[in-house]
Amino acid sequence: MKLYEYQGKELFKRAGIPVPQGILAKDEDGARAAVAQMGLPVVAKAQVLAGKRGKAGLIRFCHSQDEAVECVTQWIGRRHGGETITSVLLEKSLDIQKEMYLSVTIDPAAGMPVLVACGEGGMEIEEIASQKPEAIVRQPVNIFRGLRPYQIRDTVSEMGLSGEQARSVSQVMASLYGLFRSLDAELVEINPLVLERDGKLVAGDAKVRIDDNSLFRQKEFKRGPEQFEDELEYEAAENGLSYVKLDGNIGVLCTGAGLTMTTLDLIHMNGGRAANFMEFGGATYTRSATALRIALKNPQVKVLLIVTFGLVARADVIAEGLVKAIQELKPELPIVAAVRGTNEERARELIRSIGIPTYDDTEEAVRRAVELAKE
Amino acid sequence: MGIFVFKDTRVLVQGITGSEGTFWTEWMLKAGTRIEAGVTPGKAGERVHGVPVYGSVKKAVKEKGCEASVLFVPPAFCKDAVFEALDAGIRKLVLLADGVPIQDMLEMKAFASEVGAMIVGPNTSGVATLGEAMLGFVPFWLGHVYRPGSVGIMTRSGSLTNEIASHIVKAGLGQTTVVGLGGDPVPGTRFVDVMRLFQADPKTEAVVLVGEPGGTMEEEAAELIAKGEFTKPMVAFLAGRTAPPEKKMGHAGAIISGGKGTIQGKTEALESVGVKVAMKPSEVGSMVKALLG
Repeated sequence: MKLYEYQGKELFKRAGIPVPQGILAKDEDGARAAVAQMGLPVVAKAQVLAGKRGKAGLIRFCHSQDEAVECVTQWIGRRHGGETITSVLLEKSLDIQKEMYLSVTIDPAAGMPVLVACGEGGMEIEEIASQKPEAIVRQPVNIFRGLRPYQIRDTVSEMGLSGEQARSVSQVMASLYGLFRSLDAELVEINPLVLERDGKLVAGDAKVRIDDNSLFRQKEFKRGPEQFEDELEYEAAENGLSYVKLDGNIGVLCTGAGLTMTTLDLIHMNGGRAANFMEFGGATYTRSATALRIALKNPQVKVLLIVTFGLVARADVIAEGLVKAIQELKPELPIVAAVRGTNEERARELIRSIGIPTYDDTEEAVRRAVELAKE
Repeated sequence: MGIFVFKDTRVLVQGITGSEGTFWTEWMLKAGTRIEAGVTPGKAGERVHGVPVYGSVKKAVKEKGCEASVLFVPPAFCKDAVFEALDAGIRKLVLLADGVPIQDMLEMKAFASEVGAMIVGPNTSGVATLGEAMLGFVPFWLGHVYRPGSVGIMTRSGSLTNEIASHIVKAGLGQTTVVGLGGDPVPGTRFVDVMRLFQADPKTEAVVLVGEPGGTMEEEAAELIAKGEFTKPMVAFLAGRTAPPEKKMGHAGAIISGGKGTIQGKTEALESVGVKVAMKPSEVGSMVKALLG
């Protein structure tokens, strides 16, 4: 899960990484009080999880209290990236001498943490990578040995830093790596890491992504609806299902991520359009009813296509769950099914018993669903 | 033959007394797997389908000489269980759990690479050498899906692998070993690791790669072929051609991010080194058959 900038900066502060003075404002009074306390000028930054805030005009320099109030009152309630803005971070503006980039993330191919640094910052790391790949320093870290002082020295020197700057950036690197480990993070990023004219180093932004699989032990964080672009996606995730809303009219219910993606591809190849990605396999196969209910909540769905080829999930158990759910929810739309795996004969009987056609072949079932969606 | 697990491989089941462990131990035994021991801390002395249960991996290895372990262990305890197995000298592990913290996986991978061990998974359906042994829950008993033959399968998917495997059988062929790498972003074993094993296995005549969006494993496979280190005929099927960017498609590892990890890029990389890429699962069987002549 992603954290908001203000949450990330709280964590930075706790870890000893300097951040700008800032106050979270949620209304006009909050904005006025913040400016009165910090003085002008301030930077107003909308707190959203999606990127590209700058381009969307959600980061603004304010030279008066009224400007700051205007940002807060106009932004709150506005939608950005599928999410409603509920707070604005007001920060003392920085006197920038130099911007740098620093992050710790995971190199999936090497299976190691990696420190990524650059003497130039401010733009997205992808942009730096495409424009000046030679400026990016990558330092893979052996997870048992941790980020060693010599690796920090090498990185800082490759960034072209020396003296006091090198010393303060080194400290931030060590703290950032410690934070990455203690938070079970997938990413901790400071972009830009700002060197102010008076020589002070400050984290201008904070991007933190916590591994969802670690939330059982990272109890400080709880995944809420703001983490999802669509409320059905959140409802599905809360029920242990993977759902992604798409823009077509064929509702899809599948087992296994790969088979689901393949079914979507086949729908596309046959000239149809899927309404969603929905995987209810693995440990959640008895949750057919929930999966069905969520898929049907999308009013665009005209046809329902069910494709399974179970592993852990027995075909007859899946079929039983589906039949029960269909009888309960009584969806008034055509359903096409290809349910395969252990005890598939019994599964087929069950599904046919409530008048739903079943196919032995995924591709045949997809073709039929696409035909029905076009009628 | 085949790879990774054979009929004479002495296997340990970690978490054997749990409901999943108990259920699948019966099926693994039916597949011919030589399960010598199970381990559940605190349950030493029990028996599960006739298999003796030990309190520690060290004990099981000492008494029964186990060489491989399949883990039916919840995600939060996988790191400790894998460390225990590696410390006791086990060098082949199948980690089935879905939901393992990624930094735990980094530690497991680092430990495994230090001692030269192979971890298959996590978030996988396991490994099956047809007619010999199965570690996990590959439904080998479905005769129209799996049967002994000459085609190796390596895959990032579960259900889809059954679909692909059924088309291989429909084409009159069968499989040597099916290896599920799992759907996580940092799998313990990558396509290239499995390809090296398939290359050395005389019984595997062709290999089917089942890929997904995200990561670089398919591109690495193409590089290994370009270097001449893998020379057997290969057919690939890649799911997720129409997957939207920046969305996790069920598997945490299946995400197109920053324009990287697209199926188009993977298809181009594989085709450039002569791999046949099927557009539909039903094409896989006939494509393999054509390559084998």
